[in-house]
Amino acid sequence: MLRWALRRIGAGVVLVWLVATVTFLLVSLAPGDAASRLTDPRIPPAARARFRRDFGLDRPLPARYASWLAGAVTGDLGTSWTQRRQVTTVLAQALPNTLILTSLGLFLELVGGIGLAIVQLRRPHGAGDRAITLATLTAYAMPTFGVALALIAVFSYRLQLLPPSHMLSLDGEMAHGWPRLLDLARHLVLPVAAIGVTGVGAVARYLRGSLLDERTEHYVLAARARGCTPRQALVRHALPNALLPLITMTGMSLPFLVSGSLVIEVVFSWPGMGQLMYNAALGRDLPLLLGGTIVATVAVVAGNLLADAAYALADPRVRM
Amino acid sequence: MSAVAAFARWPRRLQAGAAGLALLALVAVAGPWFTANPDAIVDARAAALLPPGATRFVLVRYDGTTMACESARRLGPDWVVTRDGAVQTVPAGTVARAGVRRFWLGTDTVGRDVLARLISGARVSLGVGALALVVALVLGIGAGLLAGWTGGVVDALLMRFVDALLAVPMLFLLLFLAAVFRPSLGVLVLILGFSSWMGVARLVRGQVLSLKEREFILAARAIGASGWRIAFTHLLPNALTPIAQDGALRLGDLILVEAALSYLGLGAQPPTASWGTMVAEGQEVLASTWWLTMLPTVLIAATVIAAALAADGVQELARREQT
Repeated sequence: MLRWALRRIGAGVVLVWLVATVTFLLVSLAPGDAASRLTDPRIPPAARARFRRDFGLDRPLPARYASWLAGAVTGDLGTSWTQRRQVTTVLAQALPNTLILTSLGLFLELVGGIGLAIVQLRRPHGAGDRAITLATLTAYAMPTFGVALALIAVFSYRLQLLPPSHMLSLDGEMAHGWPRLLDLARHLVLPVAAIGVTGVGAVARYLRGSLLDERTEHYVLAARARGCTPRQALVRHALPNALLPLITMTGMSLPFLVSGSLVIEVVFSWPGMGQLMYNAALGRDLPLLLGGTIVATVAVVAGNLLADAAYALADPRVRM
Repeated sequence: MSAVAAFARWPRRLQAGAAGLALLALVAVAGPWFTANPDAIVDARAAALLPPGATRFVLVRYDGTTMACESARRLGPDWVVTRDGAVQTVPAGTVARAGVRRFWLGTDTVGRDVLARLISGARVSLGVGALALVVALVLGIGAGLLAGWTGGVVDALLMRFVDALLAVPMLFLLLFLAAVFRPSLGVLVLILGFSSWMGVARLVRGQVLSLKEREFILAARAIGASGWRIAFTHLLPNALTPIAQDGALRLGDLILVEAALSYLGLGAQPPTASWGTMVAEGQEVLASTWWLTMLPTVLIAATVIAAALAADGVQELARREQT
């Protein structure tokens, strides 16, 4: 167990290093650099040169890579070019905002998806099942920004119930305690709903299929023969087995927790990782892009690791 | 069996999905020939944000500008028109053509025909998605066949490479590449294709591994068929069902990613219409003219639904043939 974990973590570290290196090369070798953002022709060449020197862009690539790597190992990801602050500080500010949004969204999509699938299995191929299948298919197919904008149009503009953007209102930012939390909750509703709606379709569609398959397995028939109601057989016997692959699916979707809400964050002006990376990409902010990529890659590796561990815990047939 | 009879025997979902995709493809290919220029601004002042079904009297002048008028009357040497509520006269000598035009789905914020843009947007969105799928399939099938058939070191190396690529936060990378290259549509196709082939490679490799040990492959090897021949005449045809199913789902994904990139301003560049850019363009007037954002959204969803139905149908067809 310990050896398995150590080996996986070791492989994960190598992977993060590889991804970071490839990203570094890509970003550095791409045409133009951060100084080419200073497009105003009135900026004297001397200022341009100073900008390059300040950020170490005049040094050769291997030297830049070496010093960046040396810093990264000690937890120093350098200074953001667009924000003039430590990359770690910027990321540490954005990460919690994203996590609160995406973890609630993921929770909603799992609970909603499992619930819908169970309701559908009550009478497979019946009218209710068909209606929900159509609904989940539509939800799965909608682009996230389309769902988000539809929600804004209805709940913010038409009904004027919920705020269309940002994480806190001006009043909320001044407040403390409960009023602040309430303000945050009001701002959370629409983006979380947008994530949940698009995600619920995928989960429900997947789970319905695997529950249908499980239903005819012998152990479910045996449970029915022992006198379980159809509902008990479904929820207590078939569901745990159908949920197993969902663990892997959820683990694979952990990177979504960090990067997947990008479009939603841009639509709702949510101050999280996604919006940060969007602006970093537009501004050619190399240190920030690298930092964000590393955080996201760590999330991928950790997600896969956690999923495998959870799978082994949930399924006694699997041993590490 | 004729093609029609084969179609009639398909599962209902496959029929619906395939018909939907075919219809959308037809619109994308042939539609732009029958509509007005999608990028032409009819009249930025007097024809912006017209509701669906609105008609305007359009004067096309010799200098290339167009005027959209609520009413127009020929009076001697001049056209007397009401444009944006104000009456004005236009010398008839400057007018090349005049006629009534109906905007079936209205106009956008700068006065372009929405229907024409949706149809030409179909060409961009579906075209980029489909071509990216071709890139992903070529790369993925090639890598999967190579890894599965060769085995050993090649297999191990290729699959570790695939694992590593799958761990890259693709959205960040796509964003960055798109921001640097301000992609032409061709580059967009390549970027999307190169970010999506890994799943195909895994799938094909798995299929090859399971088919490799079957008798008919052994038989083919025994009579001396070359690796290429076995790969393309024996392995690939037998793995077609899962590839088709995966491909249909992948097409939907790619169209969604293209739409997201274009929505963020990093895909198709203005004035080119793509469904994603149209959503972004309509967003500023979401509160009043909501259909500008919702029409392209619905079309994106309809395409992805058709693709998903086709994928489900392929699976059902395979299951039916097994039993």
